[in-house]
Amino acid sequence: MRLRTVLFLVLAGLGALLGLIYAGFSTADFVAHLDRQLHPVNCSFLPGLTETTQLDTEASGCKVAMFSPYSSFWREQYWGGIPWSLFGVGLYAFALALVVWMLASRRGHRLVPSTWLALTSLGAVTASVVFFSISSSKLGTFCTLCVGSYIGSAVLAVGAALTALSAWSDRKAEREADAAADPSVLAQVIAFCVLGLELLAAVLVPPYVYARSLPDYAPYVTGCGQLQAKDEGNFLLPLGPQGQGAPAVMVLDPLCAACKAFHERLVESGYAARLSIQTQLLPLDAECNWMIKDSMHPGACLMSKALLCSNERFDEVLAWIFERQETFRLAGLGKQLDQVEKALFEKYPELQKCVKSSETSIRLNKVMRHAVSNALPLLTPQLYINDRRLCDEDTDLGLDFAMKLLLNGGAEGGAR
Amino acid sequence: MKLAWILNVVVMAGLFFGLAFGTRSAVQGAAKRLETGLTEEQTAAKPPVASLSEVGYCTEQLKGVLRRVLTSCGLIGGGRRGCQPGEVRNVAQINDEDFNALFKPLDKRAGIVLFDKAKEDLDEGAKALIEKQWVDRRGASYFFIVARASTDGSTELNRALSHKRANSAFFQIADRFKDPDLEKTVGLLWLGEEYAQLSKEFCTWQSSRPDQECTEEALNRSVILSWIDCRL
Repeated sequence: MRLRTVLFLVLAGLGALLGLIYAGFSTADFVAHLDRQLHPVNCSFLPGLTETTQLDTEASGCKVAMFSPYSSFWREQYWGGIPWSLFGVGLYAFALALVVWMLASRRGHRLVPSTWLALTSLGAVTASVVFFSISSSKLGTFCTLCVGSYIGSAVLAVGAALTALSAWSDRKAEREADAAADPSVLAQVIAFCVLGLELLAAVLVPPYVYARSLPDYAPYVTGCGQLQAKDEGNFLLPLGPQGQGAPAVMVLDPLCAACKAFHERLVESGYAARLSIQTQLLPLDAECNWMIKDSMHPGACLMSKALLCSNERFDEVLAWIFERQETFRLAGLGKQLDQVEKALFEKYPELQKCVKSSETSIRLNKVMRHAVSNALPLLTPQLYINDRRLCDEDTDLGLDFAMKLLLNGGAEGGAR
Repeated sequence: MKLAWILNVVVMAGLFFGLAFGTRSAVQGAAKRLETGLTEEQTAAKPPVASLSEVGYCTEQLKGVLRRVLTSCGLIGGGRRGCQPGEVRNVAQINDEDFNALFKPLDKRAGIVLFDKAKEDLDEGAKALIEKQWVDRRGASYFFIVARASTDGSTELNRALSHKRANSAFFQIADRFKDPDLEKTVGLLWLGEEYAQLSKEFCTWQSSRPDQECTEEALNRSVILSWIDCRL
């Protein structure tokens, strides 16, 4: 093996090391969230060396990627699913180990190892291309760690390709010097199979160990509270189609941005179609909510009354409020509630009499007292499925797992 | 050749061990934090839970009096509704001044419905105030209607008159809102002229006749309405 081949191997090894570092940090960030808490994520080309905080806006791309459905698979079977980056860790680690072995054994120019190095790098590049296209087309953002691993795979591919070419030249020179230098075909087939199995094992061991090591999440997922009081006064309002899916209660404030986002997510993920959702209004507005001192969403009481008055048009009115939510929220915070009211009654003049009536004020009060009967936490949004609360900790990575469990009534043996 | 494959076994064994051990220890670290509730960040405080009102004036003394009145006057534990002057005095177990003093913190919450002399009819202002007071429930559990009469006329007449005034306010709410919770919510007390007459201190409270001159006689031809923001 000539020096040139050695240098190309070192280049491939550097690429593998880069990929391993970035895939490793990406996996570590994902794994940290298995405790169902929020953590800062690494999102720089120097992971582990730069300070991370949860408020770091530059980390948003990495968070988007991590919390997206494309970061892992089998999310319904395992809490958070199995992260794809684990395969990256196995692949890059194998490439690095292969390079180390090729250098240490001075067999880097042999056909089988150089072929497997090239195939491994091809796998890494293919995966990088796939995830790059997902990032650009689906997520609209790129995570720095992902980009780092793309670079690693590119360097690995270049190194592996140059190694293969150089190795071919080395073997030719070796054959010219000694015709019997090449191993037998049988030996090469066996070597090919062994290295192939080693690659397979390297790629599969991390996800296998990961899945086996996960704790049982069922007690946590189903332990966030239950509804205690039945709706005996029509306090809850139907949202979307009724009667088809599992009974669910969504606690929402019409001017809460998280409620809007959560509702959109439920619809987009298809879960809304599997639920018969009833709405428990809980406006975080001190005008009607005696439980808070300062209004988080001034104007939410007015909008809640509009929803109570909307009857069969509840979905339409809620969609209209959600669409203009930011405008209403800012107007409310700027103490310009008259503008909010004007916009509401311009769009829905038929609601004015009902919204301003004493009966509606009393009805809204009773709706909120229903929240008291259920001892609901004073936050929005909340979702109860089959009377069990979807924990806040399970609304991101653990959503699919938690939804499956709660849709089954909270009972699933061996749930992870 | 042989040495090369021995090296392969060593390198790959190290690789598999590293992958397996690294993955397992990382997941188990998170699992341990999950089980113990320990995180790297401070655990966020739990949000408060939706509850009924309990405001500053809900002293143990006030709650004790209210509890006794509500129990004896039919709201807690069922039975007939309402308490007469003598009963209130016995049940409340405090003198007139202390009884009124307990309610003084309600100055911003309560409303005084005023009546004509020897009358129990509600005028428009009275009806508006009753509706306003009833609608403004917030997190309160009980609504008190405390009726009085001035010292004009006989004690028996004033006792009956204050009873009628209490009923006027109660029936106005019942007719206007037809609320099924009414029976479990409203406490009626009619004090006649015998117990806890209002002093001019109460002239600052909102009334159904803000333009009327406030005298002690006029003030006691009245019904005080208020939600009580105490958990009893």
